[in-house]
Amino acid sequence: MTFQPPRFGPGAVYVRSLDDLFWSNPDLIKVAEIEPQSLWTKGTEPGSQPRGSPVERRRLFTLPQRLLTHGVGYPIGGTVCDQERHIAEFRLWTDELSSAWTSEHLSIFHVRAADGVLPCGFLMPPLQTDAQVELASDNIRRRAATLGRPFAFETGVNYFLPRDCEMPDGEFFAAVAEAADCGILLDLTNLWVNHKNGRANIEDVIARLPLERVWEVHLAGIEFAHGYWLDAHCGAIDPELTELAAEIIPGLPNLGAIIFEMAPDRVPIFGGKALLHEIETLHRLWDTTRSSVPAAPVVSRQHLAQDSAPTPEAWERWLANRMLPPGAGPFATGSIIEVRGVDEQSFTLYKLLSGTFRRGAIAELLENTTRLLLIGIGERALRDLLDRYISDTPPFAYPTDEALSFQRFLNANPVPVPGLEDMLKFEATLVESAADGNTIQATFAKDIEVMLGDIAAGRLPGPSSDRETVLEVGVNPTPFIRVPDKSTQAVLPS
Amino acid sequence: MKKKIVTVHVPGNLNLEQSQKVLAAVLGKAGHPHCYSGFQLSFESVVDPESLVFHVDKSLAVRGVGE
Repeated sequence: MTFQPPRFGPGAVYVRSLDDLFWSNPDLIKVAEIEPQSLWTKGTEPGSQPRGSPVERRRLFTLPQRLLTHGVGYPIGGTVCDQERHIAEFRLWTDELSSAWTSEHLSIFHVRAADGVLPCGFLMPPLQTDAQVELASDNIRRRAATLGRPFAFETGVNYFLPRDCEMPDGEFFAAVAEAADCGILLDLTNLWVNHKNGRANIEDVIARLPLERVWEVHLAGIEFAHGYWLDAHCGAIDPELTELAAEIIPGLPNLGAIIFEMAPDRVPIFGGKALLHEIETLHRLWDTTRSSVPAAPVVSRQHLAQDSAPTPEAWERWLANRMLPPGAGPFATGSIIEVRGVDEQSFTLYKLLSGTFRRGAIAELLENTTRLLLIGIGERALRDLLDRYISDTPPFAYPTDEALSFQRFLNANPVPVPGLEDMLKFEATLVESAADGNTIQATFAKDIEVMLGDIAAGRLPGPSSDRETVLEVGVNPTPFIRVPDKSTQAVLPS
Repeated sequence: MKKKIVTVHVPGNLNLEQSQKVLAAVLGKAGHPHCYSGFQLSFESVVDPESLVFHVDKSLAVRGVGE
């Protein structure tokens, strides 16, 4: 491995709602980590590819920070690992943003299902076997070659307890990195969560890593829910983890960046000022890298009998059968994988977390439809409705697809709420227009503006909204909603 | 009697401020989720702004997220 990352320093994951913070604090935020897929939109046609805005990309390039790209949609841990379809766009972003290196998760997201490849709703962990090391390292080599950039994989969170056939976490990460000859994005928060959940002692994991391969560190806030510590990206870094990071980071001789992660939905709660406070913490950690100590020798590998370990394919079928709705999964696993009691708890958590992303996509993109349902049928019935939707339909990677899937579900399962049909049609039209970049003209039985006012006031739309409305929606290229020029041809006597 | 066709144009200048805001929100949130991590709170913030998700610190003190 010859790549030595430049020393960029502390930074944060870029989210649109924090744009001002990045522009106004270049001395504190040295690096902006761009997650390109989070800024892309995907067309609604089957097989359509996500695309980013050249205008936004050019604007990001002018940010006062050093830029790094980090993939969030196409992890490199599974047998379904896209090396073609999204690559051109990702490479374009990585090249134009001059990202010195790039990274993705050592996880599984897309799985083979009864009717083709589907996302399983959450980043799932690979089974840590020799076969998986070979698979992941092949995926990484291909990804690095197609992107033409130094590549690092992110060490993931894993809510399963270890299985007898698995190699220890640190040993697995080390084996993948060595076999792929790549870098490591050391997500200390993920390892800290794994530690606190009883999966793997973080110091044991670190002791097995080739620390000279760590190019980047991620840190974030955690929270406790449903019996697990979660890598929630929710707020301040756990002080205990900060103390641990202060011991680990001086031993990383090739560290290029320390990145603070904050989920967009937590930004309004946590706030920009608190985020800057966390970046100050990262600076104190970064300062310790100037007196780096030699990396400790790596603990030698353990020898495990893995002859009977499930194959990566069998592991993915096992995950798919549990994560996808009944009837959507691939069914036969090819080998028997024991479902331990603790696995049931883990799957319950994974499905719960996946469900929050699916409900979140609906609430964000169909917000007024959601509010109208809440007013019309109440919270309990709304939660039941969404639970039924989630259990009956497969998840989608892009929230636009999820929102339109929910529209189809509601159209097939009508809920008697005044104005629901029109508000759902209106918001779905916006989603469709945004996703496809098309201009769409739609006719509504109600006045949408009046309905939006009613919903904002917490009341069901009344008779005052009964007025046919024709709207034209487009984002081509500037977004607009307008009443189209209406050419009325009246026949008059001469 | 001869007939004459008259075309009347109704300009699209009605106030669509709320609709524009909804469109802006959709455009801003159409991307792939960032790193999948813990709970995504967007639904809870619509249904119940007083979120049901709590943070438990190392001394097991419980508080609402962000408090």
